[in-house]
Amino acid sequence: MRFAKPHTSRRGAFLFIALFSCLQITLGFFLINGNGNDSVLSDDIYGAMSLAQSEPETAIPLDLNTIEPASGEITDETINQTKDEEDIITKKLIESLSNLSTVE
Amino acid sequence: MSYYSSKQPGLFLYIGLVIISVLSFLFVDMSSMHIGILAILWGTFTALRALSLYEMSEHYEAYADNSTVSKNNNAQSSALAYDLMHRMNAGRNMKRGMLALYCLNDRTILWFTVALLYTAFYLHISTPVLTKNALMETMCVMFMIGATFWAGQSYAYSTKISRMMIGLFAGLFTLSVLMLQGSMSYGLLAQTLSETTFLDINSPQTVLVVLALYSIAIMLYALVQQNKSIGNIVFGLGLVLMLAAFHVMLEPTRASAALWMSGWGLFSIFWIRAYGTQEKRYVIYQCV
Repeated sequence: MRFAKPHTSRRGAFLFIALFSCLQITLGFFLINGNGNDSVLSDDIYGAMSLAQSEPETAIPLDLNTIEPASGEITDETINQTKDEEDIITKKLIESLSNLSTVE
Repeated sequence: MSYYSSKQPGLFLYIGLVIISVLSFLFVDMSSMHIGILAILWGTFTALRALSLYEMSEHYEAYADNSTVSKNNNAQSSALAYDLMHRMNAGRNMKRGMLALYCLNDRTILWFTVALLYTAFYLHISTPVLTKNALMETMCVMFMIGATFWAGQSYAYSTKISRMMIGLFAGLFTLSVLMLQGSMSYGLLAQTLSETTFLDINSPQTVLVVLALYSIAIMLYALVQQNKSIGNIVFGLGLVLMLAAFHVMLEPTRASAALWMSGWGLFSIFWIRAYGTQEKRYVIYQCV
């Protein structure tokens, strides 16, 4: 009498698990290298937006004038160099503030 | 010589990883780098375990179907006895490995498919709100829970190992519940049950609630289909119901990831053993 071969010698299942582990390793390397960190300015904006959406009553309305760089690295020159990013951030801030005014 | 010589390849590595991960989430203020290191360790372990099972699967034919007796070694007086010993040892070790392959069945792969699909959906709706770093941390924790769940199944075929794993995971799960007792919100559970509303789809633990519901459906199906493993099915159902309640009550913090990992690791044992009624077959020597 011999083994009944289980139904699981399928390469698709192995490839699926291999893909799963590769994704996990890639994400781990991204986290270690800090590739997921946005710029300081973007972190402030996204943090404010997240707070405004989750707790609109306690969030402080922000605009570009109230946001100061955490370190002295961001100057007028760097802001000019990242003009496109600033436009996107401004658009998201306006959306966030309009959401706040709707809630209030 | 048996190809699959190790009895439990990687078992102690798996247990060590589980203990380190759960205790780190509970007692250490984890940074992104720490979570990244843990994710790499878990990913590497998952890949190695899958490779081990793949080799097992691919080398099955060489040991289960073919004899080593040939014209060359048949002239030796001990060839027949040697072949008998070889086939029995290889068969015993191979059987152990083949049972481990039950972690690759359809219901487990579907579990991962549901998890990955919901993760992709969660990324899609959360990208404008959360930072990339927060999203990647959430995904890494989810992947670690999935790796614990899958690798736990691949080791739980043995009764002896499964008892050891039940003790380990139950201890870690109890410790996590005790540590997080203060942050549980029974109001959220009562509200969810009374208003029969589902969780916010923007919340990362919703995927775990979905997976718990899927697991409940699978266990109920197992309960209908057979009654030989009824103890495992009942324990598994109770545990997954408890897990679903904890997912609703707990906020998705890093400490709660410890409870999710230990809980899903414990459930993986009952999940795989609920279907553990395969027919016992023995390898008997055959003269070819």
